[in-house]
Amino acid sequence: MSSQSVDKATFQVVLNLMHELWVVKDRAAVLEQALAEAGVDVADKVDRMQPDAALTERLDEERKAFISRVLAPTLEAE
Amino acid sequence: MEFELRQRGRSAIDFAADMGAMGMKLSAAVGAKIADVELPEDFDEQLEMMEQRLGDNPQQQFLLAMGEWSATTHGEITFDAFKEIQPELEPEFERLRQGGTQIETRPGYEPPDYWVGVDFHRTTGGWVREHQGFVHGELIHPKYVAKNFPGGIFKQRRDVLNELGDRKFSNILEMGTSSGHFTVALAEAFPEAAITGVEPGLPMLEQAQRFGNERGASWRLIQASAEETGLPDSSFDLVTSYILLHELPARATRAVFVEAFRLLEPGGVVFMSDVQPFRAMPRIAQWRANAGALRGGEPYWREAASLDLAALATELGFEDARSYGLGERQYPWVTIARKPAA
Ligand SMILES: C[S@@+](CC[C@H](N)C(=O)[O-])C[C@H]1O[C@@H](n2cnc3c(N)ncnc32)[C@H](O)[C@@H]1O
Repeated sequence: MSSQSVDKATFQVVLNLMHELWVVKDRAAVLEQALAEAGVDVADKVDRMQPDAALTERLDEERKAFISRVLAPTLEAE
Repeated sequence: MEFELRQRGRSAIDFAADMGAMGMKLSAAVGAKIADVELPEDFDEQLEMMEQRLGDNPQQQFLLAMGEWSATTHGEITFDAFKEIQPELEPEFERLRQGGTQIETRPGYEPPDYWVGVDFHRTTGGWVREHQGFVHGELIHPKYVAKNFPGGIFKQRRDVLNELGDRKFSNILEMGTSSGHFTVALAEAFPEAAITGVEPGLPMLEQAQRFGNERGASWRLIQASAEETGLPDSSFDLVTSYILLHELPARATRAVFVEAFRLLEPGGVVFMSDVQPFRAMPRIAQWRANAGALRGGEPYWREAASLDLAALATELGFEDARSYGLGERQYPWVTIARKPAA
């Protein structure tokens, strides 16, 4: 990413991908918990599951770290 | 209202909110690079100079691109989250139409020309999209805006009311009620008061009605424009708004103060909270505000922040008009004035 100029359209795409990917990552984490707890009707369960405090905290942390990691080049670009 | 988002909606909103925090980091990185810049007085020249200075700065380009993404997607992300649970919300909506808080519409009402067709904040459909009230009042503000708002936007709505001192108001008119968050703050601060709200956006009033009926309140919500409420002379002791004025062209703000004067009883108070005026800002902040407004779907911010509201109130006959910023950040900016006692 050194001194290249940023292609704005491409970046929009990257952000859209990030958005989609995060939703999936988040979902996988919830799915693990749901499976562990029941094993039946997992899709609906995941969909409706309201994360408890511990999972909420974990997701908050992981989401922030994920965003910082993927977008690190934007802070470092010169 | 109690509701549970689905996994997709919840996590998409959380993501969008944290992208806002990332944008703030990038903005700080850009800020460090321009700390020494000397800007001209003229706003257009400021924009031009910064464009030259930052045009090929990668942080600035990323920041703009992220801002673009947030501006154009937050409305859709929250709307999608709403759609996932809409069927189970409908009975709640029906339940909360019942109660003392009711909406009045007036035949032939025409919303202001500067408001019609404008996608404020770049959310599709602006304030008139069906269900925008729920989306704005229950999702965008509490779960998105509040996450990154310095000092907390819900706390701010309560804090500004401290500026009114000990006086108890009994007949309050709120202008620009929107989804009713400031109405709630007013009801908490003045539990005995009768509250009337005016707002052109019907979907917004529908949400305000839910907040009202949820707390057993009897607010009178009217689909009307603040500058032409159709309400009787001298019928309120407080006329107030929170973050309405920056959405109005200067001519409308003047008309709003004229209407407030007419509606207030002698000795009544006008009290408006809004964005900081340019004259209170260093030039770099002026540039940031103007550039942000241009990109963020705020077509009237520039003329609104150019006004001197205390001077305007005085010119229109109010007494003891004062305008000042709150707290260390000098934000928001409040204007308070009194209609002369008879
Ligand atoms: C940023 S929102 C206000 C927020 C609200 N007071 C709160 O605390 O959440 C601005 C609102 O002002 C309304 N508005 C715009 N022009 C108006 C006018 N001329 N009269 C009354 N309301 C107006 C918009 O429809 C919108 O709902």
